[in-house]
Amino acid sequence: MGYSKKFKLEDDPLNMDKNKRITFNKIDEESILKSFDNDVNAGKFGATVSFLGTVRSYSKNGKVKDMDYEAYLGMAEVKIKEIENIVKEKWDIKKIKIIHRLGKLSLGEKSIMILVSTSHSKDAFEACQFILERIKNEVPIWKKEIFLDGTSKWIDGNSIN
Amino acid sequence: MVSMSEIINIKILYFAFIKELTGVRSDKMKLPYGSTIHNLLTNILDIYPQINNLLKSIKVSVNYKVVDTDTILKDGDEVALLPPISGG
Repeated sequence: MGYSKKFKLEDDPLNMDKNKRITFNKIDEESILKSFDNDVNAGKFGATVSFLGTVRSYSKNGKVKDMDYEAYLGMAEVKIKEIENIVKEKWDIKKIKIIHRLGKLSLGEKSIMILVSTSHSKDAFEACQFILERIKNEVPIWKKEIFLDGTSKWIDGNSIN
Repeated sequence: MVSMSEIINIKILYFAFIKELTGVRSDKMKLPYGSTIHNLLTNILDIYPQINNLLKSIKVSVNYKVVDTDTILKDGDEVALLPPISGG
C-alpha cells in the first residue's frame, strides 16, 4: 500500500459568501425577515415562525467567551437542502429560510436562523422544531467553546445520522 | 508489479478534534483496488496513532453519505472522518 505526502491547509474551494444556507458573515436577521415581507403583505402565509440560535455565556464547561464553528461545507449544504425537502413533504410549507453561520462568534451573536412560513401556526412551529433537531443530528457542523481563561473544548455532540 | 488500475486514489478530510490531533485538514491516499473503509482506517491509524482512542466515537462518510466500515471504496472517493456533531 502506498501513502501520499500530507497536505497542509487547503483553500476552501467554495465561496461560502454566495451560499445561502451557510455563511461566514453575520446573519442579517432584519434583511431575512424583510425578504418574507412581500409575501406576508400579499396574504400568502397564515403563520411565520422564526428561530434564532445565539451564543450564550454560560456552559456546563465554564464561562464562555466565544464559540468557534466549523463545518464539512459541501456535505453540510447538501444535508440542509435535504432537510428542507423533507420538511416540504411533511408540511404545507409556503416559504423557508435556513442559514447557519461559521467561524468565531462572540457572545450574543447569531449562529443560526430558521424561518418557516405556512398556512397554519401548528405546522410552522412543528416544522421549525423539526428542522432544528435534524440539523443537530444530521448536518456536519461542529462548535468549540472558547473560555474566559483561554482554554477551549469541543462540544460533546450527537453521532451523525 | 501492481498495475495502475489496481490502485485507487482517495481523499480524506478531518474535522474538529480529529483535525487538531492529526495537524492537517486532509490527506490523499493510494490504496489497493477493493479496499474498504476499515482498510483505510487501519492505514490512517498507522500515520496518526494518536487518534486511536477517538475512532470509536466517529462516523465515516463517503461522498457525503454516512457509511459502514465494510463499504468498499472507489477511485476518487472523498472520505470524511466525522466526530459527533454540534451544529444549530
